[in-house]
Parts: sequence; C-alpha cells; structure tokens
Amino acid sequence: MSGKQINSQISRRNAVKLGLAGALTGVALPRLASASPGPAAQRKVNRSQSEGEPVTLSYFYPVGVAGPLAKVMGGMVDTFNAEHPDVQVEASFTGSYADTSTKVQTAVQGDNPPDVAVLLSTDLQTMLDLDAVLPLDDFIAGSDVDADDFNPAFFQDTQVEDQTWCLPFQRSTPVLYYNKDALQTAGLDPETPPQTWDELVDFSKKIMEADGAKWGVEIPSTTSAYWLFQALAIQAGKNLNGDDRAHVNFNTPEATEALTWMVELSTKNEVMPTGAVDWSAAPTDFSSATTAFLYHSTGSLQSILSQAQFEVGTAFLPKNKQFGAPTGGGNIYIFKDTSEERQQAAWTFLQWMTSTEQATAWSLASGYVPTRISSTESDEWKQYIAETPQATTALDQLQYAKPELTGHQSGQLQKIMDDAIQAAVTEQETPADALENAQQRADSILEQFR
Amino acid sequence: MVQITSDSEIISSAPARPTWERWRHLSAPYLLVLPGFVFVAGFTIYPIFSVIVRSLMKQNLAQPEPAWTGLANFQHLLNDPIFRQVFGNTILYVVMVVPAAVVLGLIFAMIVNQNTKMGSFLRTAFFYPIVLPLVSVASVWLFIMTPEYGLLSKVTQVFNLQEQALLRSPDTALLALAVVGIWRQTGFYAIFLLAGLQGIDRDVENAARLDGAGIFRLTVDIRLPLLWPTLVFVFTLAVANALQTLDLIYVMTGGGPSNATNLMLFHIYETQFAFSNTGAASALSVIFLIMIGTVSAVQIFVVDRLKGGTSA
Amino acid sequence: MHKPGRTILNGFLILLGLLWIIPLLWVAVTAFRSQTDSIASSLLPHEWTLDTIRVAWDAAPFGRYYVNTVIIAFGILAVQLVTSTFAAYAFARMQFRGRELLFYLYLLQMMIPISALVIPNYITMKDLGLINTLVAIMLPYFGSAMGTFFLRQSFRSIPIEYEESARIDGAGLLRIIWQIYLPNAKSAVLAFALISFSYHWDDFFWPLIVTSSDSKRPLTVGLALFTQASEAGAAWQLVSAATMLVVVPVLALFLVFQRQFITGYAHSGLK
Repeated sequence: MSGKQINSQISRRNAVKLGLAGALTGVALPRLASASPGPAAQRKVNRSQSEGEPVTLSYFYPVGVAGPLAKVMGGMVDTFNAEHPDVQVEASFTGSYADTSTKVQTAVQGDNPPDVAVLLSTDLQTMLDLDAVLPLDDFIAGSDVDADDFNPAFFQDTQVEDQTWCLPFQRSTPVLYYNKDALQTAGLDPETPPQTWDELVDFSKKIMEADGAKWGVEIPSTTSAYWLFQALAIQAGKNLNGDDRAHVNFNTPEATEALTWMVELSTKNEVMPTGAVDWSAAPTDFSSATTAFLYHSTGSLQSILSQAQFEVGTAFLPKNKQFGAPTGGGNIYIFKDTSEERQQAAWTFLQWMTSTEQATAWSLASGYVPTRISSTESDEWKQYIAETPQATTALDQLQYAKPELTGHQSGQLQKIMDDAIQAAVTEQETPADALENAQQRADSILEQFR
Repeated sequence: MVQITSDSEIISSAPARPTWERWRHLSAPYLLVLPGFVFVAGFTIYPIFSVIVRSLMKQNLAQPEPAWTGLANFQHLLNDPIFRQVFGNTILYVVMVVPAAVVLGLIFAMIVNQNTKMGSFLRTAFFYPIVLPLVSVASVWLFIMTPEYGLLSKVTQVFNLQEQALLRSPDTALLALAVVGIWRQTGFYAIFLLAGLQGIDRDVENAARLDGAGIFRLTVDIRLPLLWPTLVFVFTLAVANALQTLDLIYVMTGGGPSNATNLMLFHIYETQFAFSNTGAASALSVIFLIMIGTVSAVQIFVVDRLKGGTSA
Repeated sequence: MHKPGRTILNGFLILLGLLWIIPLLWVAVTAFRSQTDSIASSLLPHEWTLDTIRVAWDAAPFGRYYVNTVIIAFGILAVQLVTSTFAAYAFARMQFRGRELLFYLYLLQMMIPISALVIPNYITMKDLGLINTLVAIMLPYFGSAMGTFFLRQSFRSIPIEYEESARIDGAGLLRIIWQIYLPNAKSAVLAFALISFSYHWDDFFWPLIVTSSDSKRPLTVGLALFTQASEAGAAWQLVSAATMLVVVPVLALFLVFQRQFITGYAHSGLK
C-alpha cells in the first residue's frame, strides 16, 4: 500500500475513533456536569485540623475608599494574631467591593470559601442564594456581644427573615466634601456649604468664575456609580430599592429627575467634567483643588485630609425634596462549609473586629462611621471629633439614610445601574431611556426569583 | 530487527520476539506520549465537550442545579443587547488592532532589515513589550492616560491641545485600548515578518533592483507575494491574540464606560464569576470557542497549505 | 542615499524607537519618585529615592508573589520539558497506530487557548479539590503542544545515525533521548524554555480565577489588585514601583537572551 493510502485509511479510522470518543464523553458528561456548585450539603471542603495547632483562618477584605487602608487592616490583623495565639488569621486583600464579591463567589463555588470576609452589606442576598454564610444569632446569644449597641441604621441590613447574617464593620454614607478656600475666593461664606441642588450649581458657577477651581463638582460615575446616584434618587423622593428583594425601582420619575440633573451638571451647567468621572481619581482631584465639591464616601476622609493643602469641609449631600443618602460599606460574614472549631474561631475574630475598641480605631483611621453607639460615646471618638469635626457629618446624616441598593443578583443589579448612569453621563442615551433599559434588564434577571 | 526507511523513521517489525518484549516495543510510543496527552486530554479535549454540554443547561443563582434547557441560553444571548454590544466590540477591537499592528509590524521589519546599525536598538525597542506581563502594560498605560497627571495629558498640555480623558468616554475607550494592544504586539509580528523578509532570496531582490525597481515596486511586486504565507500567518496570529484580550480590560476599564470596552472573554469572566450564571457563561464560551477555533484552524491549515503541506 | 538624508532617517528611527521605550521608561522614572512629590507638579521627580520601591515591596506580599511565580514558571517548564521530550521523540521517530489522531489532538491544544476553557477547567479544579493551590495554576499547562512540536522539529533534524550507533551499543530508549537527542536540541530547548517561562510569568487570567488568597497569588494577580487598590492619582508612584518590581526580572531575562527569545518566537511560527 502506498503511504498516501495508508494515511487516508488511518485518517478515516481516526475520524471514527474521534467521533466515538466524542459520543462517549457526551454521554458521560451530564453525570459529571451535575457535579457542580450546589447546596452546601453537597460541597466538600477539605481542611484538616490537627490537635494543638492554632486554627488558621482565611480572611478576605476589600478596600473601596481612598487611602492606605490595606496597611491599617494588616496592622489590625497582626494585633489580633498577637493577642490570640490559638486563632491565627491570614488576611488577603481582594480588591474593590465588586472584586471581593466576585472572588468570594468564585471561591465558594470552587469549594474553597474563605472563613471570614468583608463584603458589601448588599451582597447578603447573593450569599444566601449561594447558601454560603452562617446565621450569627446563636453566636451572639452565647457571647457578651450587645446587638443593640450597633447603630440601627447599619444593623437593619444584616437582617433577613429575623435572622442576623453578618455584623456591621466598615459602614459609611456618601458626604459632600467642599473646599473652604474655594468658597472664600468666590466671595461665599466658607462655613456655609450648598444645601440644595440649585445652590450647588450656583456656588459651583461662582467658584469657577472666580478661578477658585477648575471644576465646580465631581460626582464619580465609574465604580459605585449606583451608590452615589442612589443618594440623588432618594433626595428626589424615591429610593431605587423595590418593595422586596425581587423588585427594583429604576425607571421612576424621581430617578429620571435625579439622573437628568446629574447629566446636566456637565452638559447644561458645565460645572462637572464630561464623560465618566473616575471614583478613584476624584478624591485626588478634590485634594489638589481641581474640583471644589466632591461626592464621595466618608471613608475617604482621612486620605483626603492628609493630601489637601486647604481647609476641608464636609456636609450633608445637598437636598432636593429632602436630604438623603444610602448607607454603604461592608459587613463582616462567617462562611459555612468549615468545621465547628473553625466557625468558633471565626466568631472570635468577628467579635474582636467589631468590638467597640476596634470599631473606634478603624473609624479613626479611615473616616468610616463608627458602627457601634458605644464607639461614639468613647473618649477616643470624642477627642477625634474635636480635632476632626468633619467625621461627624456622615453620622449625623444617618437620620436621612436609606438602605443601599440590594436584591437577588445584587452585583448584577448594581452593574446594570452603573451602566445606565454611564450611558447617560456620556450622552449615549437619554436619562429616561437609560433608566428604562436598566429597569427592563433588571426585571428580566429578577423574574426568576419571583 | 530494525528497519530504517528513507525518511529516517524507525519501524519495528513484528514476530520472532518473546511476548513481553513485543509488548514493550509496541507500547513504547504510547507510553511516551501518554504523560503529555493526559494533560492535553484533561484540560483541552474534555473541557471542550464539557462546556458544550453545560451551555445546553440552565444553571445560575436562581437554579443552582443544572437543568436541561436546549438552546435557550443561546437564544437569550441573541436577544441580550449587552451580548450584541460585547460581540460587536470584540469584532471592532480586532478590526482596530490587527491591520494596524500587522502593517506597522511590516514597516518595522523592513526598517530593521535595511538598517543593521540601528537594527539591534530598534529590535529591542519594538520587541521588549512582548515579554512584559499584560497587566503591567495595562498599568503603565493606565497611568499614561490618566487625565491631569498622565504623560499623555502633559503632552497635550505642552501642545495646548484639549485634554482627553480617553478611557472615560465610550467613544474613545476602545480605541485607547487598541492603541495599547498595538503598542504591545507590533514588535511581535515584526519578528515573524522580519524572519520572512530575511528568508526572501537575495538574488531575486537584487535582480529586481538591477531592473530598476525602487522601494515601492520592490515591496509590492517582489516582497509581498513572497511574504504572503508569513503575512497570513501573522494576521491570524494577531486576530487570535486580539480576541483573547482580557488583562488590559480588567486593569484599565473594567469593561466600561457603559460596556464600551466589554469584550467576549471579559464578559465570560463577569457572567460566570460575578453574576454566577454558569449556563450563560458556558454558552458564551462555546461561541468564543467557535470564534477562536476558526481563526486558529485557518492559521494552521491554510498557512500550512500555503507553505507546502503539513507533515504528521 | 545622501549623508543628510541618512542622518534624518536615522534620527527619525531613533525617535520611533524612543517612542516605544518611553512608556516603560516613564514608569521606571516614577518608581523613583517620592510619594509626597505630587505627580501633578512635574514630569520628573524632584528628588530620586528608593523609598517608594521599599514601601511598595512592603505594601503587598511581593516576596510571596515572587516565590509563587518562580515556582509556577519553573515547575511548569520542568514538567513540560519532560512530557514534551517524550512525546516529541515518539512523534519524530516512531510509527504507531493513531499517531495522526494524537498529532491532531495535540494541534487542538495549540488552536484552543486555555483562556477559552476557563470555566470547565475551573470546575475540574473544584472537583479535584485544588482551588487556590499552586498546583491548580500549573496543572493545565503540563502537556505542552508547542513544546512537543518544537522539540519534534528539532529531533527530526538530528541524523538518525547517532541513534543507530547508540542502539548498536545497546543503549535503551531513555538513554538515547537523554544522551543524544536532548543535547543536540539545546537551542530549541532554550528557545522553548524562554517562551514558556515568560508566558507563565506573565499569565494572569487563569491564576486570577483559580486563586483567592494572597499566599497563592503570582505577581501578575498581585499587581493587578495593587493597581486597583491605590485609589487616587497620588499613589501612582507606588503602582509604578510595584510595576517595576514585577517587570524587571523578565525584562532582564529578555535583554540577556534577546537573540534566543526572538529566534524562538520566529521559529514557533514555522511548524
């Protein structure tokens, strides 16, 4: 037989073999395919624990605000490890809130969840859908943690069906940062920040004319766009959240009014840069006096104070029909799928991290709102606010705070809202259209949960 | 007994051997290939089937257990404006990067070919981006393109041009990424094209020169036709490479603004790992597999044909 | 070409080359810039310092990232060389049933990059209980089609007489591969090693998916997170320093082995 004939014979035979192999795998696979991310009972997590050795916990945490907070967190963890030789925590910085949420979901579905993690308070529903976290009521009951000591505004989103699923850890609201020097340059009273939407535009124009700053205001629309926008929607009269976790209110007249106002800040009033304003760069723009007003998390306070060469003021976000802001920030969760011993150890860590002492220290280092009422009564806090009165704004604004955007697939809902805001501020879509699309997209996702 | 054939292969002939030795001889090639093949089978072949099966199942947070759903995932995708945008972005990105990078690469190759004095310097300059991790390239350019203090911004300030926040506008963000992609890959393609150019017979070129051909004629009539297989190869390589863009997106734009820089691989990533929708992500993966498989197949089979046959 | 024409052309070429070098150069320069020296203030640092690099090194566990990356890159390369050498010999010198099929299956791996198959591979790792381990990062790469084809090509060019005489001397298969084929394929091995090493040093997507904790991350994932962590423009000095930390080893490797890198890549195109 010639080489060619042999080759073609072999090819034909091989093609058949390939086809058979494919068919067999295709049949065998569905069985394999069902070995998939499933309810907790089916997931096997292998973490051996030997006697006498300290329990090593894996801990994921995000940093969503300006500042070297990863370092501070590292310091806190080191202190904990030093004080607790039998419980050692290995901390992993996992990026922004969105990144951390992704990482945790990936890890959970990969049968390798962390023991403890700080996640957006709004991620709770996703964690419940994944059946990934432990309820904490028994732990709380069995310890001397006073649940009532937590600020109710922050505690309410730890609750689902009367169970406590996490504890408030680094909580915030957005606040208005303002440049007192810029106000002065424009002939305005540096102690009287704008109180309403109209005043904000008006002051901005005056400051820009007087060369007090290049831009009047910056409201970021990249990361966490939905969060800042929520504030505007609340101020216009209606929050974005729906009545339950399977509904949202994206295309309401109030939301449309809010988005229109935000877009017109750059298009009509020209007091804000065009295009998507960057969440990470905005604080530097403010502290370098490029913009006179800034909407950002109170958690960025310390960083801004350390960079700014002028006097920084903070105030409630300007109101429209009412003052308003969403709560924000992260809660701390304990994950399932680990042994009881690890869960106990995780609880020890949680307890410590959310204790009055640590909560106060964390707030002082960042600008986050103290999660505990006892923190605000402590001497450290009182001394701190004497030196840094700007830190109280967020705390005081809590009376106008509403829950952050949440629901099933909250990560996706938030992204949908981010997309809509970006589309509007970059003038790809009108605010009304953008919100309408967002509502449709959200509904198509939430449908299956109703 | 061992036979040696004309193309230097060893064919073992059969009988007159004790059985176990015969077994050893017959099984030798399979045992040699086995270690590598186990991994190829486990991490390339099996996953292809696996992902195809999964794409036909519905599985997400509302439905954690996979359930048969036929082509529904694909149907959803076709109706999903985000998918259409992502698909369009991906094609657009390829169109922006590939011709530019290949043409630029050809120009670089010709320059280096001509200029032996500067040749080494230029070769290093054009080629080094290839060895850098993409995330570091992304980080470099993110810095350069930051308004106010990025290098680009400083340059526009010097020339009194308007400030451009390239990554913050849906109109320019994808283009900005394309520039970075071109910057990184051009040198890579230049290398192949250089090898191709150097493979062109000097005599052919000299004959053409003697006939009075200038640079333009030389290029179009002599070099391009002879370079054709290499060009096609580089082209397909560039397309495959552009399709797999993810690192740049992750660091520089996160897919935004408003999904303007959301490409296939990134969308697969966010669908699976941020939205936990395995069914949709698998369907996306299948589509992506078809896209990249087609390009690679063209590369391997067409280019081979152009070069004169494959050898197994 | 006249003298002035040539000088102009050379000048233009230098400019072009510089254009390509400047981006990294600028980042390198910024890495030596003090953190308090605001980037907005000037193009170059007001004073040059090693402090920022030191801070960057401490800011994230770069030491750990380095160790991981080295383990991953070398580990993968080592196993790849073993599996590829064996398979390359079989493809180069042996006739056996199914050779063509196996060849095409290997080719399949070259056609379909791992990035397209992250989801099923991720699930496989999960089923194997290997999520968040260095092994998981390395495993899918152990069988290298590229390495196999590289070496196969190289092996085929070795005169068969070498093997014949070795066999006559009674050498077994493994001896032959080790003593005859590999030594004569040094340049192919080096070229492949460089390509594989730099590819895996630079790999991002797969390690991103498969690792979750700091202790298992390679440099690329660490750097990406670091870049995002540094909120606000002021931290670009840190990010630049971190970028340099990640880039310098592989860049140095390239500068030393430039020729081999380039030849290697060029040959990878000519199957």
